[in-house]
Amino acid sequence: MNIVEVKGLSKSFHQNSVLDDVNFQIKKGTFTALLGKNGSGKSTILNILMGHETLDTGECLLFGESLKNNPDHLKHKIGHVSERIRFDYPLTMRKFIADYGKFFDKFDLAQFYKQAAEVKINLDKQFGEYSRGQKMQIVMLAALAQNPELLLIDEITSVLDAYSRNYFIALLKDYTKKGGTVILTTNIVNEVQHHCTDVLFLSKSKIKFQTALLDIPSNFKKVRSHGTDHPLINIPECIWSGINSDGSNSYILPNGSYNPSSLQGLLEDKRAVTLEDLYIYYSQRDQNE
Amino acid sequence: MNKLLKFFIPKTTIEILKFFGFALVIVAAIQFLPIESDTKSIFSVIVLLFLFPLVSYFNNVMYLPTSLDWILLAPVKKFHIVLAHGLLNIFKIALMLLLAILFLSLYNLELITKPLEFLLVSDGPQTFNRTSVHEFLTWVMIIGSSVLFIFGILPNYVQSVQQRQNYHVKKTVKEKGKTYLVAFGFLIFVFLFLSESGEAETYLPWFLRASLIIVLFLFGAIYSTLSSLRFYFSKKKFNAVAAGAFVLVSFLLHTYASMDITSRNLHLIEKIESLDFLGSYSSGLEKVIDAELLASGPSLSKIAFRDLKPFIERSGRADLNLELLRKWEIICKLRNDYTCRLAYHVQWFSTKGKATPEILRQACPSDLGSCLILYDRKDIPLAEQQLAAQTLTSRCENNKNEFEITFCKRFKSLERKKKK
Repeated sequence: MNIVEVKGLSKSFHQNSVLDDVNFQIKKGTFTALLGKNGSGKSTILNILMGHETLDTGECLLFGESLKNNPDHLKHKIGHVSERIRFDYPLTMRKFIADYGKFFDKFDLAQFYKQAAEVKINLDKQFGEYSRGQKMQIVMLAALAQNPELLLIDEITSVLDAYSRNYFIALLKDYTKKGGTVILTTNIVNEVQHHCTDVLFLSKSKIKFQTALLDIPSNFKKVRSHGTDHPLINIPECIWSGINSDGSNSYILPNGSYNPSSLQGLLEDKRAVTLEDLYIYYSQRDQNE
Repeated sequence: MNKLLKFFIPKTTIEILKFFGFALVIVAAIQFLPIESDTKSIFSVIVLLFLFPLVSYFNNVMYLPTSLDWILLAPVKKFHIVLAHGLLNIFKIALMLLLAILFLSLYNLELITKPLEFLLVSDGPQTFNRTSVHEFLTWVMIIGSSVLFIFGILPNYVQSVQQRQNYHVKKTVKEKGKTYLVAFGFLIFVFLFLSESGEAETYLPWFLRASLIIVLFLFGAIYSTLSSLRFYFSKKKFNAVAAGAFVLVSFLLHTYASMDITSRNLHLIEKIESLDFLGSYSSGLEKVIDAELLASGPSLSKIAFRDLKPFIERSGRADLNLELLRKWEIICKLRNDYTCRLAYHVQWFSTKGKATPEILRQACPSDLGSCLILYDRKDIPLAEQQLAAQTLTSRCENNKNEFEITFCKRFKSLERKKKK
């Protein structure tokens, strides 16, 4: 079942196209990492899904309902975590969250208090008094306490310290095990590559690929070469991915972009293609283009 | 929406009470200042009726824009957010005024009645007349523009600038030109709106300006909030509703002012002001006022002095005054009433500094006002001035006519000045 369906989505800011004919689907119970460089439009996608931004053309369906119908009731089912969300109000967080929770059908206040105590957040302060990381943790805990069916998380990993990051990643894994769906935008690929199930890569206003993490090794091939004169290395689809300890260079090739017989003369890299490799691959391709 | 109101109303009330407590402390401190008690009262009124509502209102208004993100996380209809915002604003204003007025009435009733005298028209039951509307709209324009600029335009502008910076977009020459054109157009609009030239009033009388400003600020605020909330809505439908509201408000204001003009109880001065409020869209209602003036019999000159003169002095508008004076003169001529004409010319003289000597000469033997002007005018030959002085001296002796005594007093004062 698709929880999110995006068809031909385009969005521009001041004639600058941020998203251009973007299409993707998110299935229930998946943990999708939305990757892309800064300014590639990752946050814009989440903001559009959350109703913080309007879309110019195309269609976005959330739980089968079009965003153009202003389906505000769906927010019972969606949690949003972003640094731009501020619980600014002249109340302590203990009182504020107690009132804030009343807006939602399934808000678990006890869970919020318990988890806040676990990450050692003193709730007797106003939002402005917390550090950047603590603010993000409060927003994250509030979103989880909503018991949403879909969690949209914008760049959480870069703000949190190592302990909190592990704590929240564990919470998210537990959440997806219970049937929840997560879309997480990030630049730090190695933080999420062992936890996410699906990947969306956004570059130059377009989705470059969408794949399940398990399918990556079968869709790409990693090869090594000591020189640069092999004809396959010079095709546009072949992207350099790093230097090895023996002095050879590693390259990534998407399946279908080459004839298997043309691999002769190249060494096989037995390491599987990782999410980080793919991130570098597509970033490099964009740069070459 | 109930949830929104339940969330905001108690918190807003507490915030307002906090500010009210703070305002009371300031008022108490004012009482210890070594100044006159009248000045203390004025300061107290300013704090309670002006500073306290203003500061607490702006403090409360600030919450919605800064907290929009978390409100948008909640499953509340955006339209309800807009509606709740409007209702909360009304609640805030009502609560603040209630607190201030309640305190002032307990403290000292005069503190309310005194400033109210400045706000209300003292010589009639009608408060929504031309003069008060003019001042009211000017203030609404200033305050409304400031609020719209600070809470509507500025955040959107800052957001737009931030987006441009994020996406490294520079403004094109065309866009820059458009910005300057909009700013220039806005200045022209403000100038025309506040303009009192005859042509501006012909095409845009005050009742249309009132409707325009009401609809502009109301729908401007709604548009700004809807845009901030990223609400999907048809702009064509929105503009159509705004245009409909403009027609409706204009119709209601026109009906209201028309009812004033035809009202039996209303004072003539208010009727004239209401007539001016309608401007060129008066639908011939000026005839009602003309008829009332003509039907006023021998007391016409009194009416002229009692009603028209203070109005002209208060209005301070040359174009309207001349129009009014013209009507006045026609009525006087129709009645062949020299006192009436004299009153007209005295007023005309004080308004424009000019008078027609022929009419004055004709009127002088019987009308003291004409003689007074002849006596006072520097462009009149000395012999004629002396003749006028003789007439005034003889006629003012034992004169008990209420109307003529005014001229006699003025003559004596002028005589003393000339002798000095």
